[in-house]
Order: sequence, then structure tokens, then C-alpha cells
Amino acid sequence: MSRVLLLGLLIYALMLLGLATFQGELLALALPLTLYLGAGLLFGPDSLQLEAERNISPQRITQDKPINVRLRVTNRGGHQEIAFIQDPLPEGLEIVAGANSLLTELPPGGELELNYTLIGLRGLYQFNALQAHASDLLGVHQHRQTVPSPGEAFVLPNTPRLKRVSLRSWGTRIYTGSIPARRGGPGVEFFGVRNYQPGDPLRWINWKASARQGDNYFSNEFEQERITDVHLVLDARKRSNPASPQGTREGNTQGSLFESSVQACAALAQALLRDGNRVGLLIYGRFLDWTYPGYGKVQQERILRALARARAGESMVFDRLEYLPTRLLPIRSQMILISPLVNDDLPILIRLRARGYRLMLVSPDPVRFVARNLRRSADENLGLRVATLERSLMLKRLVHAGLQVIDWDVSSTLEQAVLLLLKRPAPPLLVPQPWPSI
Amino acid sequence: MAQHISPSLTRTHKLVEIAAGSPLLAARLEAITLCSGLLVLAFNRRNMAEIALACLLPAVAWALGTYRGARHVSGAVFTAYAGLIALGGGLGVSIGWLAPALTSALIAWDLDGFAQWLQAAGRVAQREKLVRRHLGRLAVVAGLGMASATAGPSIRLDLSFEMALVLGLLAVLAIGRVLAQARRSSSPGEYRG
Repeated sequence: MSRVLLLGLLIYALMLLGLATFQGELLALALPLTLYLGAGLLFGPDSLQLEAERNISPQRITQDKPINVRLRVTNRGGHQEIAFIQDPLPEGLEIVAGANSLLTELPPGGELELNYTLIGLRGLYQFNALQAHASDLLGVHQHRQTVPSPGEAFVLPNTPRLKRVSLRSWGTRIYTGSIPARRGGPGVEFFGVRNYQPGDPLRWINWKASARQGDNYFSNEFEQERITDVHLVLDARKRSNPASPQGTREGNTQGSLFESSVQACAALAQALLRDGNRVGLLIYGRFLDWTYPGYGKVQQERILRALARARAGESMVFDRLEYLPTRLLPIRSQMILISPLVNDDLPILIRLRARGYRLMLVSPDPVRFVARNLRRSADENLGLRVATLERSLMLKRLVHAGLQVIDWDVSSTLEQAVLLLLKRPAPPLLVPQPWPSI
Repeated sequence: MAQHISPSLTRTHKLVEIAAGSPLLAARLEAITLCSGLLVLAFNRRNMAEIALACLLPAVAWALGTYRGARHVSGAVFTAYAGLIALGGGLGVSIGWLAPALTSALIAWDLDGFAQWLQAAGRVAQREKLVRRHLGRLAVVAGLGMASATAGPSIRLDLSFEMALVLGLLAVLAIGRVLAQARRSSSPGEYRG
């Protein structure tokens, strides 16, 4: 109950009792309360007119690094006997130094400053407004104002460094890169032998082949290395990303498998962009969050920001991978799906492969992730064994269908998981030909 | 050899330590004690031992509530004291006892709310100055209120019944308007009773 209401009710009660019982003493007893109320109203604050300026430094940071927030509040109104300023924190941020609120007297034109340091989990944090309360000294008469002071801070996902991701794509672009293009030309790896053409350097001449033929010279050809388009697809469906009972907060890699997927996605994007490739990102979950393919550091920043915003969620439409928008992803392009997978994804992935996508699957292992958080009774052990068998069978079928599969136990680093498969170029695969028309 | 201290003794000791370290808590404790003491004495003088005993209950409730950090106990205790004081007025207890008791209860209620506000605010700039100014204004308002309440009944005006009724109704309406105005212009904040 507010103070004004309580005082008012008591004053009323005493006055009505006094009038009803003809007792002046009861009326007199209402006087201290009336004076208290009157003093509160007499010295009550003018309407609040505050202005605020927010400075967040740095606005872009990785997890567990401090963010400094400085708020300067100026009083453009009258004298405030007591002003209480509070800057509400977005969920997920935590104060490590300073305070986000202050109670003080605020003269006209007076300024105050709030300085505090935050740390946060992965996410985009938007600061909208601060809350200000002004009151008289007795706290009877109060005013409240919401002072706009917009600002935002990106806490980007931690990005484990991958030394090299070697892909073999079916479709490369014209620029020089690190992906073997299955075309002869300047390069490092031997590709084939062709007739000598004027202008070929002498050291390219294949002397053994030329000696065998006699009248012709032959030159070695090398495999061109070019860049390629890579589409990262991050599975953000809640049903495929189990969370541990310890918590599901974003950024907490111990609490949610989705965080491991996000980190893997960030690491792959960084490594691929570093090699000069054109990388796009599709986050498939509550809705489709599409980051158009691009090159370089700007694109890396775009992808990291999209990953910072990513949340695992549910959607009736995107419940299955069936609605993956393949029109955004050209046939024969390299697609990397980061997903723990569920059973009904298998036919869809095989179908995608059959349509001509070069598919790589990075799959954080949900069975081992969940197993770490179980108490492991005999029944649970049996269940885990069945789940492990089901998963390994599913992955084997995907490998047989021609997918590159990285089964990642998230208790080890991503670098370890990709070491065997991605440290050297994968053997060339035949480009699938369309079915002959009958 | 380990020294055994009973839990109740430890709690009492803790309460005394807290009171000694916090002037606001000490002032509240004094105000509640004064209010209860005055009411107990006043009712006891008129041979109403049961009501006198009942006057101790809000003080116990307040002490327990403060110790456990219950936020809204002070409003309830203040209302209870106001009820007991009104009962005293109805039973003919002298205003000389009741006015200081009501003022003490008002002071305790105000300081409770103020202390809670300071605690909730976290960081307070010039805390000592703020507390001093608050106590100063409270002292003036409470002093004036007690003086007017004590002196009020001794002022005698001869009014007809109709005139008294009209004046009474006018007072009720005026206070109603003031309250409505206050509630309209102010928005509910953290500082609650």
C-alpha cells in the first residue's frame, strides 16, 4: 500500500470516528498525520526532467571480458530533494564493479554519473532507458520518469581457432584461394600433363614424358587453387539441442549443446574467411536468420553478430530440416551443417546430397553430452547404449551417402575433432550427374 | 573448551549489535519502545491491563518483522498502533498520552520506510547528510504535529451542530481532494509504507 493511501485512510478513520463519537481528541489525533501528509505535499518534487547520455565501451566484446558503462544524467528541471536513478540491466549481464543505481540530491542543472563494469554471456544486449524516481524527504510525494538512454553491446561467442579447414568443392569461384579447383593451371599440387605451349616455363616441362614421345614436348599442369562459396547452416531447433539440468543460459557451454554449435560455427566461419572464401550463414530454428555470403573481416563481423543473437527455439514450420531454403543455396555449393541431428533429419540430408550439394556435417554429440549429466543407473546405461548405437548407425548411413561427417564429443576441442578430417584436402568425389531423362 | 551460546542469546546479541551500528534502526527501536511504553502506561493507569498487554504485540511483531527483513510489517504495525490509540481515545485515555504515542508510531513507520529505501537504493551519495536532513524534517513535522494534537482539544469553539457538521464534512472533502491530487501527480515508487 502506498504511503499516501495509508496516511489518508488513517486520517479519514480518525476524523470519521471523531465526528461520529463527538470526541475532539480523535479529531486532534488526526493532526500529526495531516501535518506529515501536508509537509510531504508542500515539499514535493517538481516534475522530473532528466536527460541521460550513455557511453558503452567497448560495444563489441567476447565472453567474460568487461564492458564499461558510463551514464551521465543532467537535471533540466527543478530541485529534487531525493532522486533515485537506476539503470535496469538486460538479462544475462552481471555487474562486477561499480553500481547501476544511485540515490542522491539533485539541484537544478546538477549532473551525476553512474559508472559500472559488466560481464556477460553471448548475446546482443540493448539498453533502452533508465528509471528515475524523485521524492520529497519524507517520501510522500513521488514522481517517476523513464529517461531514454539507448545503447547496445554485443557479447560475441568465444571463437576457438582452427588452423586450416581444407575443403574440396565442386564449384569454385574465379579468385585464387586455397580450395583445389580440379582445373589445370598455376598451383602447387600435380594435376596432369599436356602439350607444351609457348610461354610455359622450362621448369614445367615434363622431361620424362617428352623423351618418351620424342617429337613433342609436354608440360606439367598443376591444380588451381581457388576460393569457394561456403554456406554454414546452424541448427537452432530446440528439439535437436538438448540442455543440461544445470542451466540453459546463452553462452554457458556447460549448460547447452547449442553453445558448442555456435562456437563451432564461429570457428569455421573464421577459418574459411581467413582463407579468402565467400561465407554465408543460415540460422535455422525459431525463424530463418540469413546472413548473405560475403568476404573478409566485415563478413566475419556480420556472422559473429548473427551468432551473438542466435537463440535455440521452437517453430511449427521449421521443426524439421525439410524447410531448409535451398533456393538460397546454389546446387553444387559447399554446405556445412552444424547440428546434433535428430532421427528424422537423415532422409532430408540424403535428399540434399542427392540434389547435388556438397555437404559436410559437424555434429556435436548429444548422447555423450546428456550422458555426462546423468546419474547412470543400469536402465540409463542401457538407454545410452541404444542411443549411441542409433546415432552411430545414422552417421554411418550419412557417410555412405557421401557426406563428410565430423562426430564431435564436446568435451574435447573442435580442433581435435576436425584434425583428422579437415587438415588435408579430402579426396575428390565425382560430381553427381543428373538422372537421364527417359 | 568451546563456549556454548544459546541461539536466542546470539540473535538478541546480533539485534543489539545491528541497532548499535545503525542509527536509523536505533531510532526506530526507541520510537517503538516509546510508543508501546506510553500506551501500556496509559491503559494501565485506567486499569485496562488486557489492552495494555495487547499494546506490546505490535512491538513484538515489528521486532520480528525487522529481524526477518519483512518489508510491509511497519505499515501493519503503524495501523495497529493507530487503532489502539483510537481505542484509547474512545475509552477516554488522555490526549497527553495518546498524541506522543501516535507521533512515536508515525516516526517509527517513517524511519522504517526510509531505511528500507536506503537499503534498496544500494549506493547513496552523501548518506550522512541525507539522513540528517530527513531526521531534521521529521523532527519538525512530528514536533508540530504532537504539539498541535496535544493543544488542539484545549481550544474550545462554540459551534452549532450544523456548523460543526459542515466544517467536518469540508475537512473530509478537502483532505480527499488533497489525497486525490497527490495520487494523481505522484507515481508509485519504491518508498512504500
